[in-house]
Amino acid sequence: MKRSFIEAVIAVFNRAKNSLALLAVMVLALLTISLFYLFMSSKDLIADNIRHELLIEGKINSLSEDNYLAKLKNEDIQAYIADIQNIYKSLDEKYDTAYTMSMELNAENSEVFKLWALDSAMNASGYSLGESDYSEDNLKIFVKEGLNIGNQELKKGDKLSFFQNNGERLDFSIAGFFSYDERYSALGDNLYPDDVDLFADKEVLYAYGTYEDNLEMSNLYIYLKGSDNKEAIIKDVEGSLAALQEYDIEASFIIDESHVRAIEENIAGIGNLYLIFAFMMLILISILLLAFNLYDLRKRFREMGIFIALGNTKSELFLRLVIEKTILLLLAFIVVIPLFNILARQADILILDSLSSAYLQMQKTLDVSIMNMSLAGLSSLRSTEIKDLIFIYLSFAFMNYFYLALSYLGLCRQKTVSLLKD
Amino acid sequence: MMKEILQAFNIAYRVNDGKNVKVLFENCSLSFDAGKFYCLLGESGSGKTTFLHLLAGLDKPDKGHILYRGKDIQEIERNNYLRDHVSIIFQDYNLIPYMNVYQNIAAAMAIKKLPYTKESIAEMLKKVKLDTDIMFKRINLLSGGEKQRVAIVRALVGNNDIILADEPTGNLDSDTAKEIIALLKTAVYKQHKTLIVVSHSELVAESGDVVYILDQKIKGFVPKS
Ligand SMILES: Nc1ncnc2c1ncn2[C@@H]1O[C@H](COP(=O)(O)OP(=O)(O)O)[C@@H](O)[C@H]1O
Ligand SMILES: [Mg+2]
Repeated sequence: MKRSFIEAVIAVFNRAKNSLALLAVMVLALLTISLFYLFMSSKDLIADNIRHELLIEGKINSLSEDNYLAKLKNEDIQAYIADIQNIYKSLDEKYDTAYTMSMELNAENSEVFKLWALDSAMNASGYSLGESDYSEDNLKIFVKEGLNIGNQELKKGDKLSFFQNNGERLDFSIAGFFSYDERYSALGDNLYPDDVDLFADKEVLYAYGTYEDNLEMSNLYIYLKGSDNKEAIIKDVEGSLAALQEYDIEASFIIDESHVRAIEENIAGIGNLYLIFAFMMLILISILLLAFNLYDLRKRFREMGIFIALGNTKSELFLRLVIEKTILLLLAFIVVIPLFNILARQADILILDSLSSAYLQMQKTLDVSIMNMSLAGLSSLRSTEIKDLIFIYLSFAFMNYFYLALSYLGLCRQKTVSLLKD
Repeated sequence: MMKEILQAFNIAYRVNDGKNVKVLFENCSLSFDAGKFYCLLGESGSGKTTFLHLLAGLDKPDKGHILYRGKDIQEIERNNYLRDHVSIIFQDYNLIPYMNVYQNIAAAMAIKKLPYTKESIAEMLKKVKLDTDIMFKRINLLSGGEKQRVAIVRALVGNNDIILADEPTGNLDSDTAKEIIALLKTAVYKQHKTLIVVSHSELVAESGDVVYILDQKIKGFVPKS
């Protein structure tokens, strides 16, 4: 066994060209399969998120925050919004201009973050951080208690750096900490590390923006997760609607399964294009892989014949080939995992783009406004994909062993002399 | 103990190249005594390589039997026969091309479950007059003579008592050829092995204890007069 391993290593590394070619085919195959899986699962994930989605979108013409808060009957939401407003207000009283940041940064192991490229006007409220003009030299920021970067808890006076989309770097020093109910996450604090799952452990996502120069555009978003409380909240909001409409606020809901299915169908139309493409690639790749296995072993007939003439049994030879394949598979996995991460991001963008157009289509047909909030759930895909892909990778390994066995059967049917004549 | 270590008994073998059937052997019998150096002469294409393959159990005769110490080799596990009793030096060396000299010999020793070290393999290489700095060279960087010596070392490892050599001087100049034959002879006599060389070269025949000629008319071997 130990000797078989040594010889397998020699074969893999000394037959470098063959190994590299096989590795390339394997990596290509794995990437295709992984992307295939990504498209499949993102469809489900998006549909699942839509089920939990509720949107109130308002054109706030004459409505102050206090006003619409009073009109909302759901006490959870009221309490939550009031909480956040109080925090902001108290910070505002103490400091002329301070910024707050509540999003988790744990996911990134970096000290420099990108600002979420939402409309910079969101900053007009002065409480949240986004793309804007930050004129002062001495930028201060309040962060949510217990926020980490990597494993390092932030301390007062620590520096936090952010990049805006225009490339400008902002250096903040931490002025203090604040806290509020963990069940909520304020979308208004629109600062996101790349991989954050907006819905993680939250029941409500909230966004509010007044655009002083463009009141028509001002809006309020509330997203709800968890189907348990969804219906109750919809009722509440519906009850408040009449009062809200006074202030020119419209609300849309994804109310029942028929809506969700319609949306799913819409997504499926786009998703299917990728799926068909990926599926064809998959078939092509498996044919390629089988051909490659057959070809590679065919080229080694003489080598196998020599080993047989030296006294190796056919099962010893097969064991060695299996070990070789295992080494190559491990190498392929090592290469594929980071590559796939990069590719998954690109695929996310692809899906995002397609979905935006699907949503536009939806709004026409269903008369429902949907924000791209569903996409927040997509980011969680990235953090779970490797775990989920393990099954796929194991199946891939199995496919490789199967093809190897098939090729080896072909070898066993040959007379040993004809192996040597090759 | 019986005198004959290897016997070919009533061998018939024909090849089919798609169009024509060519009979290579018919009622061909031949015995080999232990400890001797046999030379089988024959023209190119007469079936010498085929005969060696039959003796080694790499190919099966259409009719007849090959007996090793009186036992039909079909009844011996083939890998045991090849691992423990018969070694082959192929016409075109058949070394593993992607391995270096050391790895080629180590692979053969590992199959025979023999212990080896770099020093012991270097020692073996010295015996066939190979420089030890050749040890870690890839096979394709060696000259024909060097490859032949490596192939000889590989065939001599272990306790195999029969060495089959297929035109061991075929690709070599006459000086090297003489040296190789001498090497084979001493190695084989010292270790009491039986050497069966097939060749078309008279030079090899001069060294053999017993010389046979493959007669294409009777499709079998006759002693050289
Ligand atoms: N697999 C095969 N199919 C058809 N003809 C073969 C095959 N193997 C060998 N031959 C023929 O059998 C004859 C003997 O071959 P071989 O034993 O290699 O001869 P030698 O070693 O004496 O040159 C040759 O004519 C060769 O063409
Ligand atoms: Mg020949």
